[in-house]
Amino acid sequence: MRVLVAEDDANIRDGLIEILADEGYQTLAAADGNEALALFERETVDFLCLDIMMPGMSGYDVCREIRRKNAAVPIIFISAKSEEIDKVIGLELGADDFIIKPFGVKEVVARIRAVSRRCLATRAPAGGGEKFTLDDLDVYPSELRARRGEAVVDLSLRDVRLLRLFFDNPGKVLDRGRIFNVCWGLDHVPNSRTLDQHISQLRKRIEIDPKRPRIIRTVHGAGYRYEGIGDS
Amino acid sequence: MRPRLLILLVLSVVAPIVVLALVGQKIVRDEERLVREEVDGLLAARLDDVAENVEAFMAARQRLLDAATTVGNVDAAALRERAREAPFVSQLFVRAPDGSLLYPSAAGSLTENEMAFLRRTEQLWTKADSFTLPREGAGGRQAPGHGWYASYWQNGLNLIYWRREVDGRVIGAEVDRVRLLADLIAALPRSNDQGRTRLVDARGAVAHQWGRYEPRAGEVPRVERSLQAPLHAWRLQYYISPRAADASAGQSAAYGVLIAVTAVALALTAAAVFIYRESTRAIRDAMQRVTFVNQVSHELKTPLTNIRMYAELLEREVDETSPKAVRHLAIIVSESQRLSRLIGNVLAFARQRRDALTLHPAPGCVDQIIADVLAQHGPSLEQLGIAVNLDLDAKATVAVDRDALSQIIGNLVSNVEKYAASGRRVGVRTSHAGDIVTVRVRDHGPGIPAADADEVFRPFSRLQSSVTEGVSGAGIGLSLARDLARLHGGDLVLAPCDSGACLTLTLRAPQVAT
Repeated sequence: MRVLVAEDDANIRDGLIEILADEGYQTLAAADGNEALALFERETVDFLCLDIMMPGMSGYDVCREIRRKNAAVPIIFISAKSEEIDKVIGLELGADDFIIKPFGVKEVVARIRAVSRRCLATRAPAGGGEKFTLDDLDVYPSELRARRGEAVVDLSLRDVRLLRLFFDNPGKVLDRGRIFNVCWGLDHVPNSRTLDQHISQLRKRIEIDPKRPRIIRTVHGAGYRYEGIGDS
Repeated sequence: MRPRLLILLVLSVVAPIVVLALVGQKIVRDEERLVREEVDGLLAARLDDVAENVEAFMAARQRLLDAATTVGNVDAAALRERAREAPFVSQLFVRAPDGSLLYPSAAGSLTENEMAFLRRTEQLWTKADSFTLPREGAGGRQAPGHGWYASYWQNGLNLIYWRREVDGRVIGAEVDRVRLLADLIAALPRSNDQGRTRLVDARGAVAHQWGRYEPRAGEVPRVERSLQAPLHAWRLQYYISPRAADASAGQSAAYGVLIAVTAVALALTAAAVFIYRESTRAIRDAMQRVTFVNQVSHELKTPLTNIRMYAELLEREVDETSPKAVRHLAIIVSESQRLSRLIGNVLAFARQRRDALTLHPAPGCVDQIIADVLAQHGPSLEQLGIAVNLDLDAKATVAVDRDALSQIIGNLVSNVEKYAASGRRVGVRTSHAGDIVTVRVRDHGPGIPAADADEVFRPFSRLQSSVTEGVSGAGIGLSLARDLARLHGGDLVLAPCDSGACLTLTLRAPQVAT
């Protein structure tokens, strides 16, 4: 999925890009409203994160223009404007969500995942549309969630890609290169620390005992493996 | 703009002006009528003067005719000679008491003039009462007298002056009308005034006129009057340009009214503008303050967003084997969150002052929200050595405004951190009964005196004590928390307790079907 981020503050824009990239999204960046609109018209965009107070064209105006052409593309406003009327205006213009600065990374991630679920409900996600099961963990790609009994685990796009990759290759050792190519993209510069950290964080959420993982097991010096026993 | 005030002010300005204009219009019309009557009177007097001149002339002419008709014996030659000597006489005549005409007599020889006279005056000799005065009866011996006989001959007035003598004879003279008119015109006053005076005969033809003004065809004279007998069929008329007659009259009054109305309109408008500006000054000042608060808050939020976002991103990457880095980052994150709450408090306080604070309850779990807030405060609580005892029993999904509850709990926990850290522990207990959720936050610090139970909830209020001395704070946290609680259908009160402070929060939060 490709996300367009429009934010005039370079640091906030870069930070959002980083958050989205970690989540597994492809990103496009715009520094003002006019650039955002031009990018939207030129590129394929699955959803947008718009700041409101930008030079040239405001986020409200960008949203209004986009809604004239596309009533369905999800839009999240991320703004310092926190008055009630600001939120009302934003939602009236057709935005799907309104995040107020300063925001926490977890809050942004949760909101973006919620919007992504709505996107994915209408089409097949990167990891495939139907449920698959790894051990006793049911993964629902279109929901960006996994369930183990009553417990629900929120997943990122990248998490779903990773789990799908392991599901599709039961019993096989997947080396870091292959994992990066599939889950991070061919143009990504591999960094084994990035992968290890991501796997570590994912294990904390999906493994019953992260210190003794059953789903994603480490094969030292080679990569990672999913045994594949009991899946469907 | 406030529409009602604006409408009221506009009406206050427009209504008096309309009334003043109507009154002024009536004054101008009355003034014009009075001046018109005055002008008409003056013009009528002017015509009276001319009529007096005409009467004086006719009186003088009558005297001349008296002399011309004083004869002894009837001698045709002598009478003809007398007529020739009097250029204002075209023919003399003498009638016998029995009505027969002694001169000019058809029995003798007649000149052409005399024959023409007889033809012109044929009717005169057949009527019995031609030479009687109005008050005399017809027939019988009549007393001496004189009079005029007017008739029309060939589109012109024919005047005959007659005298009845003691012996009953009537001696008369037919007036030469051309000479009469010429002499009359010569006797009329000459003036070159701005109007036009006309002497009009019985047919309506203008016998003579003078003055600068040229009346239009069909124009009605401003004033007119008839002359006295024997010229009673003639009229004097006076014409004048309407502008000249009425301009000065109504103009000065109209200008006066216009100036007065304009002056009043300007004064009322200035007063209305002043009143409006003064009445909205408070609103403008308040809006300026709000705009300033919002602008400053917005400027603070951008760098704060970066600090918090990058600190949290760094938290993901920091090596967990480096506890010092983890702790330092946790402090940065915690403090940036605290700064976020402070800015949120300021904005909410500003909105509350504007009565712009609104809540939006949505399905949520009170226990979860409280747990999230305590998690945010985790690092600071840990640093202060404050242990958290939880007794949470509000797990149902209810309609609750997450932001409001987070702000309330955040403010209460902040106060514990600032003023009750010495107690080393804080207890948070939740319960749910019907639509009411109750949250009790109990610390074991110095506590709040009962006498200050209301004071602590006042904005900008900070109790003066050794506990608060040196502790930073604006004094709006508890005030805002209680306002939010009341907006949520509940309250925040200081409950009595053995030690420390116990704040009880109640919220109206009906259960929501999931």
